[in-house]
Amino acid sequence: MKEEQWIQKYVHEQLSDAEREHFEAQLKKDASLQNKVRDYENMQRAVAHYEKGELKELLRQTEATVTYGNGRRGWWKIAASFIVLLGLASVLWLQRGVDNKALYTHYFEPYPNTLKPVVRGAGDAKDMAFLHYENERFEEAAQNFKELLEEREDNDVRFYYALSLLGNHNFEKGKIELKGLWSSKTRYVPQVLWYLGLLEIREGNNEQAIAYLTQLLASSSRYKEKEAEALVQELGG
Amino acid sequence: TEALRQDNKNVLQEVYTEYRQAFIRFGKTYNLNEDDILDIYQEAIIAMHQNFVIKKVMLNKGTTLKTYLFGIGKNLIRNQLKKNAAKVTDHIEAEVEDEAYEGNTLLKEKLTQGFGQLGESCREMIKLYYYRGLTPKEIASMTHYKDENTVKSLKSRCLKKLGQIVKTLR
Repeated sequence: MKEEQWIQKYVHEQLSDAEREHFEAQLKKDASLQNKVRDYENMQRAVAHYEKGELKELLRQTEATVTYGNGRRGWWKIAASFIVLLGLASVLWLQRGVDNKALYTHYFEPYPNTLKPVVRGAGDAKDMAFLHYENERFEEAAQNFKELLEEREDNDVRFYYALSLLGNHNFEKGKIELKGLWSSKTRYVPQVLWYLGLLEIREGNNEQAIAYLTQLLASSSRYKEKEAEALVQELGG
Repeated sequence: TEALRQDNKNVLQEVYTEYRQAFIRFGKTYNLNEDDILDIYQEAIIAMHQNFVIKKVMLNKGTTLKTYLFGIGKNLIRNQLKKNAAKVTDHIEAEVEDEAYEGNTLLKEKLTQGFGQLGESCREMIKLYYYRGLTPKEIASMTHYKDENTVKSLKSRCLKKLGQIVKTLR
C-alpha cells in the first residue's frame, strides 16, 4: 500500500488493528508523515464543516416539507404558499416566451476540461486544443478538435468539440454533435443531457428540455442535480 | 446504512422523516420544547450521517439505525440540559467533531471558506477524496474521469487552486 493510501485509511479508520499499530509506530518517528496526516485531517475537517452547512440546509427544507404536510407550524403554510405562487409566476413568465435565451445564458458554462489536464510545456495537438478551450478561445478550440477528429474518431474529444461550438455560439451544429453523442458510448452522457436540455430551453422547446433534464435526473449521476431539478420545476415539469 | 455511507442524501431525508415523530416523543420525556427537540434531532441526524460517510461506521449486530441515531440524540439532549442548567455555552462533550474544528486555527477556517469558493468539479473531487475517503481508482470508476492518473492530476490542480484562494483570504 502506498503512503497516501495508508494515511487515507488511517484517518477514515479503515485499518485493521495490526495495521493501525504498525502505522502509529511509523507515525511516532516520522515528522513528515505526521505533517501529512495533519494536512489530510485539516482538509477533511474543512470539507466536513462545509458539508455540515449543506446538510443543515437540506434538513431545514425537509422539515419544511414535513411540517407543511402535517399541517403544523402555521407560518410554514404561508411560506409554502408563497413558494407555490412564485413557482406559478415563473411558469407563467416562461410560458409567455419571455427570454428563454436569458435562462440559457444564466445556466450555460463550458464544461471543465476533465479529459486531459493541460501540462505546462506539453505541446501535442490535443494539448493545444484544450489550451484554447480552457482559455475560452472557442473558435480555435473547435478548429483544433475538428482536426483531431478527422485524424481519429474519439467520442470524448467530440464532446469537447461540441462544447467549443456552443462556446462559439454555433448552437445548431453543437446540438447536432451532442445528439450524435447521446446515442453513442461516451462517459459524458449526463453532461450531454444537460447541455441538450439547455439548448432546448434556448429554443423555447420547454417540453423537450424537461424530457432531457428528467432523463438526467433519472440517471445515477448527480451531475447538475440541483440545477436540473430547479429548471424542471421552473419549466412546469 | 450502505446508502448513507455513500453519502446518499435522499436516503438521509427518508431516515429523517421516518424517526422524526418518535424522536419528538423521546425528547418530550426530557421536558424539552418541540423547537429545541427538532434542532437537536437535526444535529443528531447530521452527526450520524457524517459518521457513516467519514468513519464508514458499521453497526454492531443488534444495533438498529434507530438505536444508533437515538444514542447520539440522547447525548446531545444531555448536553443541552447541562447547557440550560449551567448556562455554559462551550466545552461541551457531545459536539466532539465541531469542538475539534472550532478549536482550530485561522488556516482551517480559511480552508473551509476557500473550499466553498472552488468550482464545482474541484469541490466534488476534494470531497470524494478527503471526506468520503475514496481512492483515485475508486473515484475514476464512479465518475466520468478517464483514469486514476487523471483523477490524481486534477486533485493536485484543485489543491493548488485552493492554496491560491486561501492565500488571498484575510
